[in-house]
Amino acid sequence: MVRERPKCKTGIEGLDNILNGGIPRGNTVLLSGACGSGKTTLAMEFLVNGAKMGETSVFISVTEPSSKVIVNLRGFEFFDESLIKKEKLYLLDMISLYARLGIEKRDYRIEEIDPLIKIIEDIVKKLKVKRLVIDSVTAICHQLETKVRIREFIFNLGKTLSDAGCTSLLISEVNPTGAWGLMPGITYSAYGVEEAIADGIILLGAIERKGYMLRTLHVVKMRGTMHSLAKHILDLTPQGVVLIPLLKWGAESG
Amino acid sequence: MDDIDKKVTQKLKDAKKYEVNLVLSDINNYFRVIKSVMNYLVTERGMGGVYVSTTRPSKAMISRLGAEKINMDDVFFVDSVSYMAEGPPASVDNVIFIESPTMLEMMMIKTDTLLRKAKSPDKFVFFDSINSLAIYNNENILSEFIHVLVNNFGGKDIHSFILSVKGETPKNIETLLRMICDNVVEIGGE
Repeated sequence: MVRERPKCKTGIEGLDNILNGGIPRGNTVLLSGACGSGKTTLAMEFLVNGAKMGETSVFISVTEPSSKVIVNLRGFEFFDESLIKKEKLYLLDMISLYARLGIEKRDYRIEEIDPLIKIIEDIVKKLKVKRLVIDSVTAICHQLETKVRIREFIFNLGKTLSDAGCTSLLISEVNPTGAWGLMPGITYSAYGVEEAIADGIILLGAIERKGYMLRTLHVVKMRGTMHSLAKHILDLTPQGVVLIPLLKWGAESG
Repeated sequence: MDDIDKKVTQKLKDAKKYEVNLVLSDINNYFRVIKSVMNYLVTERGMGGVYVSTTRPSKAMISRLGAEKINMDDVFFVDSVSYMAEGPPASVDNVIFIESPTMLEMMMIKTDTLLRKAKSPDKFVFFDSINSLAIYNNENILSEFIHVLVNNFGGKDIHSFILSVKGETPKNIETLLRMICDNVVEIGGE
């Protein structure tokens, strides 16, 4: 029997039930999926809902400017832009992160990885961050040369965030052939080591049914809580993410 | 009020929330039964709700029911026909389009979404119809869907009606519907 830990409610319809109340506080969760699978939307809803509950929430965009992230967010009814003014929701990009170190960056490449963890730690402690999303951890791992360095990075990042009581989602981009459920040899990350370090894995994928694609969500692992192992249908709506159990015969109806 | 209207009113007057009613129509009275049920729910009872359309495009149903002087302002459509028949449809108020009648889970998600939009305190879901789904889905998944659908509707504070056309519904599916729905209302062909 798993001893249940205090939970961080995602506020996402269906997901808290799948997770038996939410993500255990302090967990570092790999949110894996191919492009278009709903990773960023789910992660943003997690943050916005947290901010609405009074928890300081931070989104770190590694690959695109935060101004672009805000434009996309405005299309969702769950987004409340006043949360940014109230300093409950922070949308940061690499330029703003490096600005904190007094370094002027003209692009979004990550040249030094160790200072990055230090900056994140600094942000989490100063702002008392309770929820953090990094989009994507894959882009950071691209800069690391070996699996050993990736393992070290994820381990150190996870420990830093967990020690600060921060629940985090690390977005992991994976190859569509695995993530979209078309191949049994599923991968959860680009390098295959991230998942071993993470406390949890939420895999977003898809199934094909008679020529139509349906998005899916599957909680593969989540330390510190009982959770459903069933695959669920994920719908991206203007209101946010909605989940419903996948019909069992529908997974193989062809 | 014609004979079908009278029968529908008589048979539906005891319909309760948290119960799922199976409406079995004969093929000749298919539209008349729909018209009578919708007239009873919307005009006589003042309800608003969701019409799940798997047989005819929502545009056609809105037009035909509107022509019968049924106020469709608080009726929202989940339409799984138009996209397949005509390609991507233009956005329409009160309608959510689903790409295919095989996307059964989406019908439930979208029905829930639209039920929240209906303003009337007294709400209904009218599912038109199970026999059409049998064209696109095999009996295994359709049986599973009906189980989930009936239990989903039956757990809500709404009036639920599932239409199926007699003689057009696979025998096992009709047997299942009769077994798990709370009430069976047969109109025409008794």
